Amino acid sequence: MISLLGFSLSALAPAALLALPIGLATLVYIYRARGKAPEIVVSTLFLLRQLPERLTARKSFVPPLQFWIDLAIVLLLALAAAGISAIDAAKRIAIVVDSSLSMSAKLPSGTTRFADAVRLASADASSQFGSPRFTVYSAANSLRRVSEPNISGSAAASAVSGLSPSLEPDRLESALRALVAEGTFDSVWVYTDRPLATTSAPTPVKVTTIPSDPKTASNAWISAASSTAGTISAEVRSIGESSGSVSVSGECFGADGKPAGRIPPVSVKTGAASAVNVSTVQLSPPGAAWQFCSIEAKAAGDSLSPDNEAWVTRDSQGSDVQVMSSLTLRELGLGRISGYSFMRVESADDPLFSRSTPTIAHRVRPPKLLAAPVLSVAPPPGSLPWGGSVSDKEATGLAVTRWQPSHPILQYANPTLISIPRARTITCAPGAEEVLSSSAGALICAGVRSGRRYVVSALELFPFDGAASPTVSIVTLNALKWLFRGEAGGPEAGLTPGQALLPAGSVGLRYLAPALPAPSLSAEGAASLPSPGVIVFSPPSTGRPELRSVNIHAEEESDLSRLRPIEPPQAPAAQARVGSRAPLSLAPWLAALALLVITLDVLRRMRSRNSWGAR
Amino acid sequence: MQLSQDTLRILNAFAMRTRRSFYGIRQGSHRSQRRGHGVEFSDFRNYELGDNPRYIDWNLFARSDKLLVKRYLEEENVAIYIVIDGSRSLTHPSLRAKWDLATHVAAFASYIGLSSQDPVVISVLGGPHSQRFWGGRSFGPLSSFLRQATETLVSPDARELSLPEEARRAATRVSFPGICLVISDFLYPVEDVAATLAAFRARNMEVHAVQVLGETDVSLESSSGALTVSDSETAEVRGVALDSASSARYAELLEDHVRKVREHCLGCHIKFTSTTAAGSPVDEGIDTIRRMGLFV
Repeated sequence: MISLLGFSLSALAPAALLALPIGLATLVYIYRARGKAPEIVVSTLFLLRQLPERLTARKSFVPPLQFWIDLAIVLLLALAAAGISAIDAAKRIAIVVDSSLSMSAKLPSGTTRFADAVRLASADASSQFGSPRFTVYSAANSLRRVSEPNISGSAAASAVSGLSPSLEPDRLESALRALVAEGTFDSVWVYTDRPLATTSAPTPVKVTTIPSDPKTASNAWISAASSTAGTISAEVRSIGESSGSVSVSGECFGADGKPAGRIPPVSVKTGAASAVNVSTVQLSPPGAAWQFCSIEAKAAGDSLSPDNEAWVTRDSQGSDVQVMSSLTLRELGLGRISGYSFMRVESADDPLFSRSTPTIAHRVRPPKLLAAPVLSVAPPPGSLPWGGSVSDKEATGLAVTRWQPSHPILQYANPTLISIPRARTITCAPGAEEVLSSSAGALICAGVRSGRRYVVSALELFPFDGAASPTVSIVTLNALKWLFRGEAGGPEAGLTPGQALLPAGSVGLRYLAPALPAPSLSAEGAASLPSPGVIVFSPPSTGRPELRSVNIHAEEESDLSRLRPIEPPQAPAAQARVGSRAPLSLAPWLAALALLVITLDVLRRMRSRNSWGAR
Repeated sequence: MQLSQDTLRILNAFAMRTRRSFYGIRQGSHRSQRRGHGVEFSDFRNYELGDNPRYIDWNLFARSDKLLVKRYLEEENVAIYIVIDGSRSLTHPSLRAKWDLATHVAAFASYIGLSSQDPVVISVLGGPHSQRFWGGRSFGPLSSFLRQATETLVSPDARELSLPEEARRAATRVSFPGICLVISDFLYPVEDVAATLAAFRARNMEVHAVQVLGETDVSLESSSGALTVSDSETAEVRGVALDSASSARYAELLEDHVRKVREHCLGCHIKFTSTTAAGSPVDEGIDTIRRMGLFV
């Protein structure tokens, strides 16, 4: 394989290239022989003696035009016979700009992280030498290509400048892994606010971290909001300078979207600025005509404003959660938990099983498709459907060694008091968080996939020890809340901006607030929700319009003090990277070109009335 | 040499017309210098003893009281001498087309002459071949003679020949003056051409010169811009630059030489005809015969 003019040329039958030197030598021989003055017999030299005599010594070889034409034909035919194919050898670079919610955070300079990322990416793309080819991606909850593949640096800079931040959490690791595994790119440039994890493995990923100091980051956000019995409960979190005092207020609307009154501001004293402060505030909506409210948290020095708002619909009717277990709900202790409506199914093959219903999978393999939040408790050994795996060996006498105290699942819990007689440790899926870990491995993993939260717990969260009324632990309640009622709200309110899955056959989807165009809705119930708000639609089961709130609630994005290093994927083999590019076979073109040259040569000879070969 | 029926039909339509009268050998169809008993009245002369009284013009005797005898022009045959240049410039295997055309012209002229009972003598200069043919049935032996001469002469052996000398030698063998057809390419100095033709003119013959040129004599071409030429007679090799200017120069030289030969022939009352062996020798030969002006 050789490189020529930015292309890598390869030949299917390199032996055919031997025809080149052979053909060249043959042509030179023929033309040298032809170049010799032909010897003919004439009647007499009587007249020819008066012509200038030509030296008989051999002259230097000056090839005529016909020689070059013949050489071109031989060259083209030899190359065509060799099966020459070309691969664009220009360096291919993927530019991935993190457009997640945290990138909208303001910097002390007054710009946002996203604006800095766009500026750096544009500058890098337009200042590259060697004419590399760029493909621009925007990465948030999903990876979106925002430019034509393999464009020039200036076009890439233009495409980057047209990017806008989103309100979604990012899934950079999985996006980068997919890009690198694709093998199309020589290098992947990532512009994000997340630092690069230390790694010694070679990686094609170059991470440019937007400079920001997490210690001085300041943000206040609403991490959860729900309404119960006519009151609204909001969980407010803050970090940094915003931690002093947070003012929470709101405005409520009727079912027709008309204002129904304002919620008076409530000031919340949060606590020290060195850690994430969590406060729960009770709000009193005005009157009884309200159907949904918009809640807003205000704090001094707030860097990220989109997460200051939350939408709450009135009076959740209680969550429908299906439980896949061989035990009864009473044995599991789920009968006494208020606010949820549990329903037991035997397995995923049960006719009552619904994939769009939040699910607790107890000691069974969780459903493959994550269309609703899932809590998987003590799954059987083997791989998990959303990534990660469960150890085959059951460990005993485990001790908790590491945990994330800020995670909602561990709220109000003291992990050091958790006793673990035996458990099969788990390996978290890429992108999932190890909420609780032991020396033998992770015990609880929490993550988001396809916009749905899931928790995999190696611990037995339901202590069915034969007691008449089993006690449910605080970790279990936190997990249920985080999954089914917590940050994402209950199943009726657990929608986030982006792709959402509504009951199949739903109709009449529209935004009640704010005033936005009606989102698209497929027959399967897939809807694209562009921003937070309140939507209304009619599910086929009831036919009545139902309200759902759409909230951001991206904890990892709002918590600007948390460092989330990126683990870059390893580089694929160079052969796989080049091989993934489709080679362009030049043989038909070369053969056609040779035919064209031959045709033109024949026409030229016919026009000049020359004969073929030596005279 | 086998002539087709079409060729014979064309040749039969020709008849030889001489510009001068000659003493013939036998009774023939050409006007002779000899006075005799032909059909065409010539003049009167005084009756002499021994004259046949049948030729006395009695009407004139009645008017003038003189005995005058009517004289008539004799019609006799005319000897045709065909002299073919047997040098290597015509007989070289590479120049075979010239020789073929020359022999065809000779054969056609011979056929026409033999058809009118004229004796034909063919001489090949440079060779021992000289033979007389007489009568209409002699064309077969004449063809054999030409074929034998061809087989003998057209060989790769190169040798030089002095045409004026050979012409003088051939002219000494002429018994009766008549028509002399000299077939050659005349590509040698005009002085030698004049000497060659003068040898036959000195024998009081009506000389016709037929120049037979080959394609390589008329134009020289080379795709490489040069040519190595070999003299057919001396085997001398010479490299010649043959670009467009040289080709034009050669054409000028050839035209000038032919013009000089033609002017010499014109001054000597020799009919000069030039032809090029570029196609079928039969067609070219008939065309040459037609253009010579000797056969009508």
